[in-house]
Amino acid sequence: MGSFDLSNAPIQRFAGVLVVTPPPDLTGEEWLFLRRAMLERYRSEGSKQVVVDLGRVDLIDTEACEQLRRMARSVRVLGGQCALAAVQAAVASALVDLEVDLDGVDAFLSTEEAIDALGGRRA
Amino acid sequence: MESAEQLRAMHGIDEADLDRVREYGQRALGGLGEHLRRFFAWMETTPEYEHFFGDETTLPRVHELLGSYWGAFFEGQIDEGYVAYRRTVGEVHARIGLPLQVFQVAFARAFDLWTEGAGQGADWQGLDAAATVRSMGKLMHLDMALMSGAFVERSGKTIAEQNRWLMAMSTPISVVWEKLLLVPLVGVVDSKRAADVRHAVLKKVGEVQARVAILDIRGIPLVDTAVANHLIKITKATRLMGCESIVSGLSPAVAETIVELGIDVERLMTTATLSDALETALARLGYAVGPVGAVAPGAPALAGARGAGRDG
Repeated sequence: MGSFDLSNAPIQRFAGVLVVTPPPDLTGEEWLFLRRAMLERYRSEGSKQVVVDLGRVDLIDTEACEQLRRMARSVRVLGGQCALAAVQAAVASALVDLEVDLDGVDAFLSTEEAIDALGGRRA
Repeated sequence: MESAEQLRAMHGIDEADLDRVREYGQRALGGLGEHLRRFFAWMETTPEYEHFFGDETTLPRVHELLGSYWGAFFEGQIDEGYVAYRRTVGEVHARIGLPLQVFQVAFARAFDLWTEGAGQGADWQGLDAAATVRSMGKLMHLDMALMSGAFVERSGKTIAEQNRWLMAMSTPISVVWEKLLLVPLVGVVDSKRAADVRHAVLKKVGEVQARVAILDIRGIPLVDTAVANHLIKITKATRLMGCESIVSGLSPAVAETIVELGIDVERLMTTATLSDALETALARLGYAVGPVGAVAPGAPALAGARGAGRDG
């Protein structure tokens, strides 16, 4: 996939929750763009909850793992909550094998479930 | 895979070799019956004979097959059909479970029977016995290479198939309730097995969208740091998919070992018994378990009748 600009990054807002949907095969640079785009939307829209929907990601490398960790960490540093949703088996295995520190990041079977849970917490 | 032409070149078989094999074959095949009689007389002295050839119906069939085998050998036509034929012979013997060594010794013995009288008798009259035996030897080596190659290949496939079956049998993952998996672990859990179990569990979690998985370790004889780390990794991975894991069946001895080894199991949800784990799992799924009539009003109940759960 080619680089995307911040305006068309795959980020949507549902029930006050930002949902980031990384496309498959993102490069490290594209992950960085996505993180920046997410933080920009987080700031401009005043959202406090972010769900990263990994349903389309079936493989993940060291760099992508690190970018994912930073994405979750930046939301927490800003006082928000970040959750993962629809993580596929191979990705979960890779995150464990690469010892990516995602402590404190909740995970949900589906994005809908994550939105319900995070939206509920906000309420 | 090499072509018949390449194989001939590799084994240094030229037309003169094939001519010599054919020439001897035309004389010797008349004595095929006697050759087979002596071959089976020798086979009867081997420990494997009874098991593989003891059946009355098998023996005539093997006689016939060996007749075709030597017929093709003495025809001296090494083409793709010949190569495929030899590979099939190797595969068939691997499939019936004959040990490779026995297979090789049997063909070496059969070759000996053809050549032990080299230079003597009517069959050898006018032939260069040494050159003929050398040519037959080249062809026999080609045969052995083809048959043993196919034999080993088939055995490898069989072992891989058996491993897959064993893996499936050793990790029977059951969906015991909607979105609840039960994974009874039995036997030794080494790195390879742990990786296989993790793969199977995560795949199942994704398939049935499980919320809770119970890893029952009653059947694991030894829980040390390595096993505990494997279990921790499995639970971490399922958690990342949105599925909590409970490790059940910890015996007092295992609990003691874990404490003595200083294994950090703080992030593992553990229970002594499977029933405790089931109760915890069902509670997580929004069900209360109890005798009929004893479940709190309004709670989805498993007491006699199932109520509407969080997911149902």
